[in-house]
Amino acid sequence: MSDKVLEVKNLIVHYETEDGVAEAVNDVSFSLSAGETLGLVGETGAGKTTIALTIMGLLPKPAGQVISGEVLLNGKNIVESSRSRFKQRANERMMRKLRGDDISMIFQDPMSALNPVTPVGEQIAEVLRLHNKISKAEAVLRATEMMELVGIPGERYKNYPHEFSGGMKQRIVIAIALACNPRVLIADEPTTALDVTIQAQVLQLMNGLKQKFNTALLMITHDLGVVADICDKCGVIYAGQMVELGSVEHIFNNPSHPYTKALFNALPSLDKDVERLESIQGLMSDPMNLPPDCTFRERCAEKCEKCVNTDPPLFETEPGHYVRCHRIAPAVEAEASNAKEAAK
Amino acid sequence: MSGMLNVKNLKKYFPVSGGTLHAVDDVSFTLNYGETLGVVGESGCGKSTLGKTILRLMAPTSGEIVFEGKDITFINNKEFTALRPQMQMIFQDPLSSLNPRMSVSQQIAEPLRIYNYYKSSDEMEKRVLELMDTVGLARRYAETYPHELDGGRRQRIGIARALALNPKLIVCDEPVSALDVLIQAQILNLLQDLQKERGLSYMFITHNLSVVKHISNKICVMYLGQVIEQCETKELFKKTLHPYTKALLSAIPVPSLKDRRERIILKGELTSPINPKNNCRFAPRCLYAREECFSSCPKLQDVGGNHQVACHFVKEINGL
Repeated sequence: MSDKVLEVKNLIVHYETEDGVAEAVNDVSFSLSAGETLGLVGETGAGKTTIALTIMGLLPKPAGQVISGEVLLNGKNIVESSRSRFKQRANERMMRKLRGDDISMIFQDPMSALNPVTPVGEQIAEVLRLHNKISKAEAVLRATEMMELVGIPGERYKNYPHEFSGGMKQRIVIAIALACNPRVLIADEPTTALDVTIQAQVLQLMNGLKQKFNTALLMITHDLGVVADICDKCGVIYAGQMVELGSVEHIFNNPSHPYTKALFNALPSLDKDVERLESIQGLMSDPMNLPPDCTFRERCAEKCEKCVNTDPPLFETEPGHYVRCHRIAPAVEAEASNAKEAAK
Repeated sequence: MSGMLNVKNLKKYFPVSGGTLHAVDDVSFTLNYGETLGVVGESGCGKSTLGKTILRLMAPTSGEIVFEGKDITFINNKEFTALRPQMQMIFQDPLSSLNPRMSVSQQIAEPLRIYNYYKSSDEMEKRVLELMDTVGLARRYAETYPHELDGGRRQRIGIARALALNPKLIVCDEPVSALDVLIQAQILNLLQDLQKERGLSYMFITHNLSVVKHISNKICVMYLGQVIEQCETKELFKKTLHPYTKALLSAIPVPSLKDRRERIILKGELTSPINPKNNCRFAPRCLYAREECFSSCPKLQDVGGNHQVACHFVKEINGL
């Protein structure tokens, strides 16, 4: 399995606070190959960002704690679930070498991601100098190249972040993230703070660069339109769980989990005229107090008796399409027995 | 003069170091009873300033705002106080527009108290609870504080406050931008139900074209303080004429894999609204810009069917 650059296996992350334990990520697994894009969608508080921070080793300490699970980068585990301080520090030292080099992240708000008192060019050169043994002059040269690559004239090397607009700042953040040609790029809502016309520019740029460098991209967003635009695979996160995972064709042409369906129905459409939007009542379960039932049960339109007290596992409904719902189970079992009979 | 709200040649300039910022430049429109006018544009195009100027939260520089036949452009605060119950606003960020030290019932009662609507506190409480029912807030939340509630419920408090005085016009400034899609759908449905029940008129300010399509009867597209296209909602999506509106529409990521549209990617970004030259403000980014676009500013002109566009070459571009 050498083609998988990033593999997340049964990841469980908790935030341990004074008020109690928030179960932010519950048993999430997915994998990414080189040049592939996975979109993670879900509402605020679903745990999307926590997944990203865990992969980057940036969980807020000491509250954030990986309980179990693995994150494999090129087959090597990069998260430390032990509480031992010694092991945590060793992990942090290793992550410092990897961050920016093998794995990078683009944050939602470009203004707070950049250093306001350092010229943007130097911020790109800094990453290059940290991870490569190159001279200052060469770093400047390569940083200027990166700027040109993301569509910012090299003459603006010495400008400060406040001299750029939001879209241009996000381009610089992208340049910093891609400077060392990472294998995995995590983008946490990279275009949410931007206007639609600028968003279109930035998405086009990211897509082009991703293909050029053959980077695996983990795209975190709440906008299903963005997913349809640039992703190959899509995962839907609800209350810290992956409720549906599949290729974009699976998710968009055949959404199977009631939550995914609800998400699509709630969107006002540009092509169709609808009198009233369909919405589901209620709120996501509190991660501090998750029920033993299926986490979506209270809001679910298709709930049954099975949903009480048992959280459904992920069922594979067709190759590569996983759905976490009891309703799916009978169909899957029937199909499996059919396949057995056919084999006989 | 028909319609509940007539705005004519409204201008709002801000003095800044280095000149004047033309936030709203020569905007005219009419809003009828029970209708929704959608105002769309990117950040910095002056849509929020327009909303605030109409409610006189800011004094306009020049122009005319006529509300129910009464010119309210330059009337003094005392006169305006009498009108305020009829014109209300819902803000974008429900947390920062609420008082963190007031409970939900106090927040909703505040406008009623200011205008002395009820003499006895029993009546007042009854009305507050009624309002909470109307906007779908469970009564058990009456004594909670905004920080204890989620974004959707906070926005419902904002709506209840706006409704408290039985207004005729509500300016909604990005009321759903901060909310998740499922909650967004709930709030949009609520606003539509209230409109049907009470015959409210909305001015709906947003950057989200699919939301505006869903809720509006008429749409104004703004670019750097000017309205560049204005018509009925159906017409706009059937017959998009201005190159900027076309680009804006094509830039929206569509949550579907079928019928992917050809993208029009605009170059560059919004130019500065400080001391704008007398040219088409969209010209630097426009795919069709010619010399004339850089020498004179196009006027909003009717191209038939109540469809107004500000573009010199609208007929050529669209083959009309």
